[in-house]
Amino acid sequence: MNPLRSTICQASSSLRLSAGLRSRSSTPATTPLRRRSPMVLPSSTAVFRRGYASPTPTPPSGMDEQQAKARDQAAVGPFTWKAAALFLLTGVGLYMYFESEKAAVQARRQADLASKSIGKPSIGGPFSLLNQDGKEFTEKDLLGKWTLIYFGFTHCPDICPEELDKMGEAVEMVDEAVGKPTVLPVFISVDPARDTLPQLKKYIQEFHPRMQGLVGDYDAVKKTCKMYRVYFSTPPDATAADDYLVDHSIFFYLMDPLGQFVDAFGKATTAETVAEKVLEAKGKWEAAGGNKAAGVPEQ
Amino acid sequence: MFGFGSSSSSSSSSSSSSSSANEKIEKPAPTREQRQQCWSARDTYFACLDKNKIYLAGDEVPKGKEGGAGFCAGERGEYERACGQSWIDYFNKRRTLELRRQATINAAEKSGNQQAADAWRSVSGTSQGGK
Repeated sequence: MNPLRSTICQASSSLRLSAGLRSRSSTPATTPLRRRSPMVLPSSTAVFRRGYASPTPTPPSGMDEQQAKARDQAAVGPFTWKAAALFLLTGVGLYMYFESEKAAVQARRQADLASKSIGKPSIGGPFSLLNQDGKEFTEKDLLGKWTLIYFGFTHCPDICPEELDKMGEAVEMVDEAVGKPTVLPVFISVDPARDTLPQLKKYIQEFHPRMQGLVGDYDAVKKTCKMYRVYFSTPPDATAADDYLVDHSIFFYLMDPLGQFVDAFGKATTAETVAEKVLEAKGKWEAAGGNKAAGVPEQ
Repeated sequence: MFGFGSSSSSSSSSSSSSSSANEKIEKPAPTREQRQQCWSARDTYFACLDKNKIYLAGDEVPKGKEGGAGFCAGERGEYERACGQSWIDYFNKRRTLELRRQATINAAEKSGNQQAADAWRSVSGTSQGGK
């Protein structure tokens, strides 16, 4: 049904009644309609006549001109300036209301996005390796501590030692800024064939006294690397006597006291930047309640 | 065997025996000092190659003739003594890649393609070269 028509119908039911009567028999309704004629808009009759045109029978041939005019006005029926204005106002009002609501929803969504950091990559997870002293070391040993984790191998020509030196420097800087041992540096070997525990122990001592050196059998190392999204190319059948290099990912990770990934640092990152990032993350962590709020042991 | 000629004698034996004398490491990785020695021998050797306009390491060795030792023989000997074979292969490959990178930058700059030159320059190179 024509919405305009329905609105107007509700506005004046009495008129509709008379119009209905009018359409059935032309003569008796003429008088009351003519009285209302000043309210009817003559200029728009042509437009609205069409809507009523089909059910309205053609006027009988004997009808005079006045009667025909009255009939036209009746056909337009309830349309008035008041109704039109009301309709327009309602329309504009509704439109503005919806527009403002839409803007509010968009603003809210934008605010949500701004406050939320981009989704965290799933780096880290359960693993089981041995440390340099032959003690089992799992992801639970990381709980409650800030850790910097690097994957490499002791026969690494240049990149691993450079990165581990940087890591050691960053650890020292953070310790100094905090005033106590804060970050645990961890080196995980991706070369189980050559990196025996004594070899590992000797190697990590060169970089930081607190550094933990972890290794396991090939499968344990592979599983750990998978957890940390680290690529390495050690052939499974390599032996300690072979002379080979291992191609591997050279990022080191900062993990929070829940063992969750915070940041990754590449070759271009300086020790100063690493230390800054650690302190920044630690500051946020403490502001949010620290280890206690996270339910992990204090350091 | 591994190629770390010095590891069987002098400097290394003293440092390794101090930290883990009782545990035998089948194939010990170079220590910090040994790495340093290898790197500086490498740098000296590469500098000599540069000076003699030899780009590919090994090209300076005269082919066939037994007579002359060619350029940089002393430097090369030191390099081979101080570094393991896999390291030598790796460093030589890195040198080639680095020279190629530099040539690409130069060519891009010469042809006026500054954008490409900058892009290549942003790729880590020289001693900081990445894998």
